[in-house]
Amino acid sequence: MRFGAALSRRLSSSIFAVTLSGVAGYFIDTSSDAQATTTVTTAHSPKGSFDVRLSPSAQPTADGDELRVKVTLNNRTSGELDTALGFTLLDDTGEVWLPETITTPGRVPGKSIAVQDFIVPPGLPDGHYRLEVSTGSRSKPGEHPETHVQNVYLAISSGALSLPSPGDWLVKSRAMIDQNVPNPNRPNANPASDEEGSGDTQQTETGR
Amino acid sequence: MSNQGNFCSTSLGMDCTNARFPANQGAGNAVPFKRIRVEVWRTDTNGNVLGTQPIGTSYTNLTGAYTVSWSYSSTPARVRVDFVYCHQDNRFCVQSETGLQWYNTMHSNVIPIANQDVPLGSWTWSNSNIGNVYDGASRVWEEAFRYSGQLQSVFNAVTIRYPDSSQGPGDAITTGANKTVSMADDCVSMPMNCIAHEFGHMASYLLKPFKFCGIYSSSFAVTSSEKYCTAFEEGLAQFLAQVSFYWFQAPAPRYCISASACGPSGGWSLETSSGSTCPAGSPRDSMITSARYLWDAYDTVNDSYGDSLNWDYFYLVNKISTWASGTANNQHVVDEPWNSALTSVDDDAGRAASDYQFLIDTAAAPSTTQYQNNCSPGGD
Repeated sequence: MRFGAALSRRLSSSIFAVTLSGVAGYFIDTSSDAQATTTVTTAHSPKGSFDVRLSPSAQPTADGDELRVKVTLNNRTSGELDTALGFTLLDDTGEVWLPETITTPGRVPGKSIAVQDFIVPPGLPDGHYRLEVSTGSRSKPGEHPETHVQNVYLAISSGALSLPSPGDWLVKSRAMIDQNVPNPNRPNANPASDEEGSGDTQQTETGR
Repeated sequence: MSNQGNFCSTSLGMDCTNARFPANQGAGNAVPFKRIRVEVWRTDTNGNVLGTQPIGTSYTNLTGAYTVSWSYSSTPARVRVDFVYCHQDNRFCVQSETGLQWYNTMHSNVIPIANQDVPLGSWTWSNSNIGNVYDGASRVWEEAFRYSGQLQSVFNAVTIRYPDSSQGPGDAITTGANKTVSMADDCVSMPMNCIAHEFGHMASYLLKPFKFCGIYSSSFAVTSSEKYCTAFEEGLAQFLAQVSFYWFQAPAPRYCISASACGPSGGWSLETSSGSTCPAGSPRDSMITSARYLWDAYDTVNDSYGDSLNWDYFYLVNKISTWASGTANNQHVVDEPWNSALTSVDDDAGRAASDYQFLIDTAAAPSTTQYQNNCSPGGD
């Protein structure tokens, strides 16, 4: 049995989207998200209706580190937004370990911020994973939602969880290495037998 | 496999006439790498590269197919195939934030038979965001930029730094002097607002280098009020990028900030023309107003206000390179916002929409109607 399946069953029995604070799950934040810059020759991309910030951390438990992700959603519009979050855990080959879990939609008042926690319990095998966090929002029923997708990159080693940068994760994981495709000219497509002197045809002609 | 949003979707009720990024090329679909560099390298028994140069180099075509000719001194030949995230003719490369060139190793195989074509590869591979960044960037080149002779000359050796941890969520910046675009990890799913928008800035700069007057609002957005010089440069960048997604006959071009499609009412319409009064929520000094003026000068879809101008994309692009140098106020010069020492902004309505109008207008084909139809985006 894949451990992932057992983990999935374990998580599915618990509430792992934890609301932290405020009335109905959100609080009002008056902090500015200023992006002003006057740097020479630089210019950056504008914002849409909302932005999402992820604050992941590794929290030690008796069974190893758990991943706790604080999701902060900033409604930049003046009206209410109905929002929902989706969480999917994949490994570095793109295989899904935890199918998407979608939170109950909540309403975020205009020009305000909502916060929600998400937890991945300890128990993942060693390796590299990414938690894909999807956020959808709309201002009225029937409207096609605006969505954002962000990733939390994590590495597990003997129960210890680390949070590499996206670039480090790409370099150290298997994400940039595709699986070998068997050589169709070979009678034995098992890459493990690709050793010289193991019965392969030996030729001295210059390859084209 | 694509994970990019901002495509046009008829199933959502969007009008995708003349759309260049249909849903079947967007998120969830296998799409080809166009004109990406393919390298064949010798390897040792562990698959590690031998030598400092590939033994064969080629590029994929527009369908993602490739042929590489290579030679090896003996058989069996032990090689691997790398797909290097650089566009043909060195238009751009995708690198890490530390300057490492990204590539995917496709195969490590022993080729026992000489003088024979060896098919290697599958049509569906790559699960990383790097490939999608490359795809978004190549879309801008293939669908828009390559049609400008001036951009053919100047748009090369551009570096995309991805993922760049210095950028906040959804953020991307362009540094023209370094020919570098830096993008946050999540920008990959929003090509219209990230890689395409930043390539628009890069094109604007490379065509005629200038000193950007900066972002002035505390929360820069598509409809935020900005200084006219800011609104125009942002609107120009978006227009230059937008043609990657919709062409001149599109009746419903949309600017979308979302990891999926925006639907028929999501995002912002580029075709909106409200006359002398700006649409609610889109002030005169916002980037979307400048972008809408430029779109009207480009498209063949005429508004009810008598819009019949339709300049070729290459005409509008190439005109940027004719901007006169200088800082003098009210003189339609490229650094008009700045003082002569380029140390402070003394005319934030300089290098704005009205100055660009001065560049593109001819006696036979003025853009007065288009400018006024979009509540006169401003400048001096």
